[in-house]
Amino acid sequence: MSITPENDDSSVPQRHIFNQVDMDAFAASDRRKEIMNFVETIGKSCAEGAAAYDPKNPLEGLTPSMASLHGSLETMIEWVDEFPPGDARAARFGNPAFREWHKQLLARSSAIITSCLLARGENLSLEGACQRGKEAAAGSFPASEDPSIGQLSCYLHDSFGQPIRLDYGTGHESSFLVFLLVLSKVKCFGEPPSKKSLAAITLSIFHQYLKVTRRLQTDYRLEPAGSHGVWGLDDYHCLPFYFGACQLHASSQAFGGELSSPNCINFEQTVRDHGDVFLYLSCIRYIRELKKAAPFFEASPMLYDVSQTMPNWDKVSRGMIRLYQGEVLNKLQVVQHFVFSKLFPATWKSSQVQRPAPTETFRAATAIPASGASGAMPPTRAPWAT
Amino acid sequence: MNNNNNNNNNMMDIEPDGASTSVSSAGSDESPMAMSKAAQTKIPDTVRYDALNPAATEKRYYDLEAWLSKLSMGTPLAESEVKALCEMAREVLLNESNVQPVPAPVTVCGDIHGQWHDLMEIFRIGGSAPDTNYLFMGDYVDRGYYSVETVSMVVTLKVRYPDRVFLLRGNHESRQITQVYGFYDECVRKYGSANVWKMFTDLFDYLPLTALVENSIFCPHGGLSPSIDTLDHVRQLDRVQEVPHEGPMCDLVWSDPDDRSGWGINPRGAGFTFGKDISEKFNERNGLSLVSRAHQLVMDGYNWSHDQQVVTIFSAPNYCYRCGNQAAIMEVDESLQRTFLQFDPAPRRGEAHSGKKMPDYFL
Repeated sequence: MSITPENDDSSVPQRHIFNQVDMDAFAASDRRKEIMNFVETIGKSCAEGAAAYDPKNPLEGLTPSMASLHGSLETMIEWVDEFPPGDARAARFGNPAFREWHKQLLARSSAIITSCLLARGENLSLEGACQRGKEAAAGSFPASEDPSIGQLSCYLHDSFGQPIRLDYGTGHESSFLVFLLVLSKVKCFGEPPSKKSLAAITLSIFHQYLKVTRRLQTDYRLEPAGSHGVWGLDDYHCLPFYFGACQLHASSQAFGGELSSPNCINFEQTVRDHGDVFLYLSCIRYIRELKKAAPFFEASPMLYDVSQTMPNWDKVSRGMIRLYQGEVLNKLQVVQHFVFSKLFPATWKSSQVQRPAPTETFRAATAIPASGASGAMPPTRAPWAT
Repeated sequence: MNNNNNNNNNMMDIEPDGASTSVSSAGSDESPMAMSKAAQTKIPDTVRYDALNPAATEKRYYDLEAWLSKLSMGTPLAESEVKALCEMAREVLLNESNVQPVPAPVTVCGDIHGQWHDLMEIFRIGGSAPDTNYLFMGDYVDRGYYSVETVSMVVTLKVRYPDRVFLLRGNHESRQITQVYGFYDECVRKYGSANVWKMFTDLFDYLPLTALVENSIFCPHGGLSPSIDTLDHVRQLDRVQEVPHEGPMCDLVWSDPDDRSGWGINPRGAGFTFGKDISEKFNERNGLSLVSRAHQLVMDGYNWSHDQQVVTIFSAPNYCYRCGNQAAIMEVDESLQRTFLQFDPAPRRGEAHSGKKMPDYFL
């Protein structure tokens, strides 16, 4: 009997987006709609006043499955101490010790997911579930042998950065989102999930997820993958700004006060005081701590402009969700790394498999005409180029 | 922001020593004093002389000096000036080879990515052009806040001192990439339209793909290509086009050296990875001592690989304001001895910013 009866298949999850043709298929697919529905549903749950995240009691409102995941995320931070960054001089930039951390993730992911799935049917307290999630991540809880766990774990594996490139970006963040999406499909959010638990899951799990990813970014110096530099929203993240704007919208509707205006991010004291509770301010605080060398308007012009031109958090959240679509889901460079599984199936046939590396060296592999210029390459210049 | 006091003093501080000697007479390009003083100077032969039109040569010299003066203060050129600059630059670059010969001594620089303050730091540390000869290996634009100022500066230097400053094309000198990674947005924000972006990206098609220092050091932006085994193969490429998605021209600006031998899939999705065996064979076959390339962030600013067959140089310190890396430039002397100069971010003070704009997604 499969531990995930929804999915009895042990086929290997794989990429299905390799070029613009696949990209267009993805753009029109149910999978893209599914991601957007999920993001907006959990975002709205935060915006509708259901969200009272208390950093001193982060398990409040979670399901036992999500409390287990929270516990596992807490323990993942301790893995960094298990695999301390080695001699930095040996590395080009990112620290290769991250590969050890990531190997541990591959080794423990089945146990982490097993604990989440088992928690659905047990009468565990939230503290008990959290504790078991910690044990699963620490290697002291056995994983189910069920091969269908691979349909879930592939998303967790891509959630924390790329071990070869030693980088992290919004694609990895999206993989974590899809991980939550497939967990919700196998009823880890409760059946049916309440608005209150959706909001709690979103805020609590993302706060904890950011604690892990920030630790990895700084300790292992993960390079910002595909960063737009100052011209992007942030080097690494996007969704926490959307969820965070939703959370601040709910707060200003309910309480008004100094946090009601998006301009509040420019007051250091405000950001310091409220960063533990409000996801958006947590992100701003982190940027301000890291990018001390330049003024905020220069290091983060988009966030600065948002703070100067947006009248309220509702408008900010609407912009953020459009930005997520435009800069993440619509970018081939990001979504080409998505994997599709039985729980998140591709509805199109991808047009090609990955281009192989040449096995022979030099021109034996791919000859170009020796005669030179004319016809040597397909013309790709822009139509307007002179 | 405490940006209102001593702005002038700040600006003087960040001027490169040498450049300030040659341009300080022109506080602004409209200063009549500046013109009269410059007029007494003999036009140096580093500005290409047009025998049929000496007046044009003279105007060109004054324009370039005025633009350098502006740019070394951190002021962007006007749109009409960028247009004139790009026309001049196109002429100069058109005559350069895909494998542009570069004489030693020369100072070789890697990615700058719009970090204009750090470009000024390079001139402070490495010496100002033309007292020091420079080879820039591409990636002037994207990510940083000052791509317009940075690329305007290096292109103006190229036109002003065509035999002493050399520019290569990086993977970011492309229409497609600049629309994703910031240069396009920056141009629209600073000029109110995409005209300047179009002028520069049209110019980028003419940039040489590689340089060859004294027939010994081969300099592509990214790395080697399985379609290229001799330098003549590079010379045969029709480079005046947008960087293609695959093929030899793409590989030269996208590939990376790797610990694994042979060719490998590049996780970037463009170009390949190449191992030590590939570098050794390429250098041996072409009588080269070294492949010098940029393209990858390195903690110390430079990084040897493949048993010193390949060196990576990265010249943007504290990349994206967060990476904490040092930057470096490589001095190559007449006998091809190499010295690396490392540097940290240029000290900054409060500065005025260029207005605010509602980001597109929030309209």
